Formats: sequence, C-alpha cells, structure tokens
Amino acid sequence: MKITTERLGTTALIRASGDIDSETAPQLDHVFTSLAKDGVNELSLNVEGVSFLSSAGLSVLISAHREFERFRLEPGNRIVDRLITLTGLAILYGDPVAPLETTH
Amino acid sequence: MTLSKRLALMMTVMLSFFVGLGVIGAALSWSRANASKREQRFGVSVEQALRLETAFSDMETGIRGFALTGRPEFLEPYQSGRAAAAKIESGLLLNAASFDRETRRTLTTVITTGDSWQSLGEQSLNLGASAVRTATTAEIRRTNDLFDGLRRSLNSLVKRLSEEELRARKLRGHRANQLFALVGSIPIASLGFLIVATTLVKRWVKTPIQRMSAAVHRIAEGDLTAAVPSSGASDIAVLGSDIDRMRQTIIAKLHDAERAEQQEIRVRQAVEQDTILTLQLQNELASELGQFPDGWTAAAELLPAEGWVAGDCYDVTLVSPHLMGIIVLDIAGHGAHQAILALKCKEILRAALRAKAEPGAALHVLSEQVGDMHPSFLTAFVALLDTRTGVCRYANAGHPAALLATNANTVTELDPTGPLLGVFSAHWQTEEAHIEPGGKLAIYTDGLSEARNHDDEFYGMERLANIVITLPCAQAENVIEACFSDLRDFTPTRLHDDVTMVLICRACAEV
Repeated sequence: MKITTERLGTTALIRASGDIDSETAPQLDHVFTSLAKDGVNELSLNVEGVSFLSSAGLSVLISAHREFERFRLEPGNRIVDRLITLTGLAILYGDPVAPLETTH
Repeated sequence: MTLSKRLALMMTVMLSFFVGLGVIGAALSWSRANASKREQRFGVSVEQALRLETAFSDMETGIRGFALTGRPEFLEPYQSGRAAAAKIESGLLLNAASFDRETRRTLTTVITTGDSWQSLGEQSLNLGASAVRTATTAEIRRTNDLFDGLRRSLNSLVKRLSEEELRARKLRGHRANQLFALVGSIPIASLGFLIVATTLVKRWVKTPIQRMSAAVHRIAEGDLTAAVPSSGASDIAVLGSDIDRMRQTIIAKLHDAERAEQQEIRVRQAVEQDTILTLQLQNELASELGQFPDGWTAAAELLPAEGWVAGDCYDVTLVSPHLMGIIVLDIAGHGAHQAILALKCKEILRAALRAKAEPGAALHVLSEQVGDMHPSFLTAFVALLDTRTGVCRYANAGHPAALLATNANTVTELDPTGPLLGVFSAHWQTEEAHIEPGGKLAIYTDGLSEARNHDDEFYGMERLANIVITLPCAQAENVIEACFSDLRDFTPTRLHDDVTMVLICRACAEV
C-alpha cells in the first residue's frame, strides 16, 4: 500500500493505493493517529487507487470517522463503493471537506 | 598493604636488625682490641718503670760504694744504671702519648728529678772520692731528699701505670663478654625473626588462603551460601572479595535462570491452557449440525486463518420442528477475544430465533446487547427457514450476499438488509426468499470470496456460485467438500482470514 499526505492547516488529504488489508491497515491507522495528534481535525481520504479493502481496513475508516471532527471517504472506487454499500457504511462518505475540495 | 610490600618491609626490618648487630659487633671487637693493646702497652710501661727504679737504685749503690771505698770499680753499677735509665726513659717517653695527663706529669717529674739527682751525683763524682766523703751533711741530705723524691715519683708512676693497665684489662674483659653476648644473641634473634616471619606469613597468606579454599570447596560442592572471606594482605583480600563477587554473580545468574525457567513453565502452561481453550472454542464456533426434516440437508465448514482462533461462527439448528434457524457471523479480526465475542453473539441470536423473533429483530436484539464494539464490528446473516414450504426469511447485516441457487442453475444474491453491526445504531430489514426443490442456499464469509492465489487474484463469488450451481444437491456435505477442495487448489498457501461456509440443500421434488 502507498500513502501520500497533503496538508493545509488543520485539514489534510490522504491518498491511499494498493491493498488495505490486515497487514497494511495499521500503517493507515498510524498516519491517521499522527495527523490527529498534530492538530488535524478535517480529513479527506482518496481511495481511487485502492485494489482491496478488508474488514481490518473498514475498521480503520470507522476509527477515523470517530476520531476527526470531519472525515470524508471520497467515492469513486468501485470495489470500495460496493463494500461500503454492502456494509451499510455510507455515513463514511460524509460531507465534502471544503478547503481541499477546492484544491483537488 | 599488599603482600609484596609487607614482605619487603619485613625483610628490611630483619636486614636492618642484623646490620645493626654487625655494626655493634664490629665496634665491640675494635674496642676490645684497643683495650688489649692498651693493656699490653701499660704492662710494658709498668715493667719499664720498675726497671727504671732498679737502674736508679744501682746508680745510688754505685755512688755510695765509691764514696765509701774511693775505688773506681765501685762506680760500675752507677755507669750501667745510668745507661739503662736513659734507655728506659726513652721507652717510657715513647708510650707517654697514651698516658693520661697526670701520669705524664708524674713521668716528667720522675725524669726531671732523676736528672737533678743524677746531675748532683755526677758533680760530686767529678770532684773525686774525697770530695764525696767530705760532703757536708746538708749536701748529703739534699742528695738523699732528691733520691727519696725520685723514688716516690717512681712509685707513684708505677702505681698509676698499674692502675691504667688494670683498667685496660677490665675493659678488654668487658668487651669480650659483650662480644660473646652479641654473638650468642644472633641465633636467638634469628630464631625470633623466623618465628615472627612465619607467624606473619601465616596470618597474611596461609590462613586467608585456607579460609578461601574452604569456602571455594563448599561452593564447588554446590553450597553457594558459603561466603568467601576477604582477609590478610590487601591483594589476597582483593582476591577473596573478587571470588565472593563471582559467587554472588553465580547466585544472581542462577536466580535469573530459575525465574526464566519458572516463567517458561508458566508460559508453557498458559500455552497449553490456551490450546485447550482454543480447541474448545473451535468446537463451539463450528457447531455440530443435527438431523433435519426429510428433503433437507445441511453442511458447514470453518477454516480459521492460520495461527489464529477464528472470529467466524455459524449455527444451523431446528428452533422448532419445522423451522430451521441459520446463523453465520464474522467478527472483524481473529483471536480468543473475537472468538469468545462470536460465541456470545451466536448465543444471543439463537436465543432470539428460538423466541420466534424475526431475523431482523434478532439482529436488533444483538445490537442492543453488544452495544458499541469499536474498534471491532461484525457482519451476520441470520435466517429462519420453513422446511415445509421452503420459505426463507432472512436479514443480512453488512455480510457478503448469500447465494440462492435454483434447480434451473440460476443464482440470486441475498444482499444486505442493513449495515454491519456494532458501530452505528441501525435497523435490519427482514426479507423473504424461497428455496425451491433442488435449490441451495450458500452463506459464506468474506474470507472465502477474498482468498487470494499466487497471482494475487481473488477467489471470488462467481467461482463459488459456479460450483454451487453445478453440483447436484443430493448431499450438502459433498457440495461443501467440493467448494473447499477447489479453494485449496486455488490458494494452497496459508489463509489470511477465516473462511466459513454453510450450505443448505433442498432435495428435488421427485426424490
């Protein structure tokens, strides 16, 4: 899995690609935790390049949804969208995180 | 102080003592020899003084004989006495340097008095025998007084010289005795030093080493409580201290090893207990399926992810004579905690189904019971199957779609009727499906559809559906075996997630 982070003040955009499974999910969780400790309170996650999302990955996304004031999973990945739909987690799509939406 | 310094100090003391003895001995020897020479010299002087007295007596006898007879041959004793006296006086003067002042003055008195008396006598002799005979009483008295004075001086000289000789003899004897005592003390002192040196070496070396040796022997026998003493010379004491520290280190290491061994035993016991617990959990997670009404068969398989206790769980049982309760649930993660939680959830769902709750309501009961499971959650497929009609009422909480296959080789996916459970408050709808004769219902967890092969390809729902459709439905057991055999062919390596599948088969109408 590959993770890139863009940050603007208290807002951050993370791009993840590859598999988010039980082996790689802790890396993503570590990035989320570090940003939260560093003052980020709005986070947008782009999963366009994700090829697989396991239940461990889902658990990390749920944690992020609880940890940040605003968390948004960007839709557009068929695999992820189907899983989110099946598990009834559409709440993770949330509202757009405004400052980064204008940038990207 | 170190042993070498102590020995050096001891040798220095001994050497200094014996050197001192040598110096004293040499001084005594020198003093004795000096006294001996002095004694000898005064002995000679005493003899010379006596001979001088004899010579003066001879001279006086000669003068007296010549005066009475007038014959010259009577002067012969005078002549020989005068020559002897001169010689003896020279000898006495040679030794006078060693006389004390009083003795030298007495000698001087003797010589001057002798010279005066001799001069007076020779004046008379030069005048002739008649002159000697006709000498006045005053002259005679004067001559006699001089001679008497000479004799008193001589006696005094002899006496003083004799006393000096005696003192020298006594000193020589005293020194000889001291020398003898000194020589005699050497072996006694040597013996004393030997005893002292032996005692000190024993105290400094032998005794501490014996004590250390005894302690080390006890340690070698296994008695580590034997403290090694550190006594004696500082380097010996340091050796003892080091050996004792080594003993204490061995004790500490042994305690560490003992603690490690006890820890290992505890860990082993814990592992054994965990293994027992794991086996018990495994049996509980994969329930035994009972007998079902004619025309229905069920089979199930649960493969935990390698090295873990499964977080998957299933149950297929009759909740009433004609109503089959079906539960398949998957808790996120693996391990004992998830397994126990899965069992708890299964029991809650089974109890709800036995209480005639609809599947959706059973999930709601479960949600109420378990509350917030974050960071974990579960997905579940719960169904009640009426074995008389084939009507299946089900609810799916974020679980992979169950596959409903018909005899006509069609497959319907029974999608989720609500979200996964344990994270958000939600509602789960109960839906209805129908299993026709010859139909099959396959419920599985994502560990099956998401299993990967060497090329990182997913096993997939389609591959599973194909097997389910293709195989005849006479025995659910056969279909399950075929599915898992195909899964093992697809992914022969270790499973990363639990794999569970439950299959319900309804016999064909004509069977």
